[in-house]
Amino acid sequence: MGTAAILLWRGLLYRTRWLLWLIMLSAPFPYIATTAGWMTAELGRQPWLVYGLLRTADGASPLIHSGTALFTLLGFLGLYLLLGLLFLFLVFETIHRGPAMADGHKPVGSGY
Amino acid sequence: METFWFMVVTVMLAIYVVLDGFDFGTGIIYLLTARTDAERRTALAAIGPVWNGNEVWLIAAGAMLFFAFPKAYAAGFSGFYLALIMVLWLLMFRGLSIELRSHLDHRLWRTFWDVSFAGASLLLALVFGAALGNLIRGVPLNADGYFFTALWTDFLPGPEPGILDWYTVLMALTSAAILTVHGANYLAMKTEGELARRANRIGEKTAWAVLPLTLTTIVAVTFVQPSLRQNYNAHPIGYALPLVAAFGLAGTISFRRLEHHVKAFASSSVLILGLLGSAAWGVFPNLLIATTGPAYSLTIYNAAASPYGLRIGLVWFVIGISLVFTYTVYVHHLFWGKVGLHLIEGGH
Repeated sequence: MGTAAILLWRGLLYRTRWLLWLIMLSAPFPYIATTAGWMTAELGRQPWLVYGLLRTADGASPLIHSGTALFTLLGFLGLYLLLGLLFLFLVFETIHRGPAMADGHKPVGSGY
Repeated sequence: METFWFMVVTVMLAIYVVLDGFDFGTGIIYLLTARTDAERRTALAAIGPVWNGNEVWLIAAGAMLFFAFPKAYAAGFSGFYLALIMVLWLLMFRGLSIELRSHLDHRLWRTFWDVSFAGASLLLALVFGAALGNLIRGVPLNADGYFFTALWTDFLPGPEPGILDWYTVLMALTSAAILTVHGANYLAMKTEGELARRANRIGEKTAWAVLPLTLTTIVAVTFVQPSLRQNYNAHPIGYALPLVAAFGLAGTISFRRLEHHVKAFASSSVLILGLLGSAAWGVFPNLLIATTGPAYSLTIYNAAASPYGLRIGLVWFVIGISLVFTYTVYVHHLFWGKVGLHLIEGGH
């Protein structure tokens, strides 16, 4: 990032192909980092829900049937799968459409 | 102190209903009023900059309930688990529809999100009405302070009711009708041309449906939850609240006819605040009324957090709510006035 900032300041970034490739390929890393961070926090705290105060087993709702929980888990999985596919689809659409034209013509997709 | 936090939670919920209520209302009448693609984009642009911030009030009200009355929060969110998850899914689909619709210039894509936006808005208006109905009717709390309700049982509000019974369905319809009027008032105020005229017409017609529905609901309450009358008998000043609501309804009907859009919108806001205030006046000091007997009810006293926590929370609440209040007023002020298509042509 530091190298990229210096190159951008020098006006050389857009001609340094190897670094542009590297930046493009690092797109998934923020997603991996946030997910890994969450997992470290949530899994690392087990078996506590509130560290040292409340165990996960004691924090569960007593009257919710496991079938209901499974249903909502599957619902969320399905919903996020759909969202993930839509996200990829729209990202590829945007890439396919390319950047805005030099004449200021705006591609569809901004605003409502 | 507990009374103060009860007021905090109810006032925040009421502000939420007024604010997000017009988003839902706009969604309900969306397919009917906005026919062309340009009109639909205008309708979405009318709520575009504010709907997201409006929903913060729901989350903040939930967080205040969690903070001040953890027992009621635990019981409510466990007991209404499935219903609340469905609310969450609907809120997600509604938000996605608004944000994704115009990303792709394809008829099927846009129609899908348009229908999803309108459908989710209508269902949410119904569900929130039914939810308020559940709070007034009461839920079957057990000795541990928990309850479970099926989505529906025999549609009768007995000691073991379902989330949907004839009373909560009536509340759902009333809520949807009121929010339709509220949304129509908003859209008529924020847009112009054919779109505003159609919103005006729907608002005018639906306001007349609100009158019998609200009256039936009020009469039904006295049978479903007679205990509400105690507060009104003990403190008759509370009767001012339903009176305020009546003024709101009269205002929205007459200003609608005169096409004073801002005043009509203010009136439907007063109507909502008056009705929610009436409900809160009646249920106080209960948070969750038990159908299994008053001893099991969760009140602001037996569900409250420790006095020390409530005192500390007061400081942070004042800081937090000042910020939220400031940006809510600021963003609504910034986007005050009508949205025309010429404004959104180049994005927003």
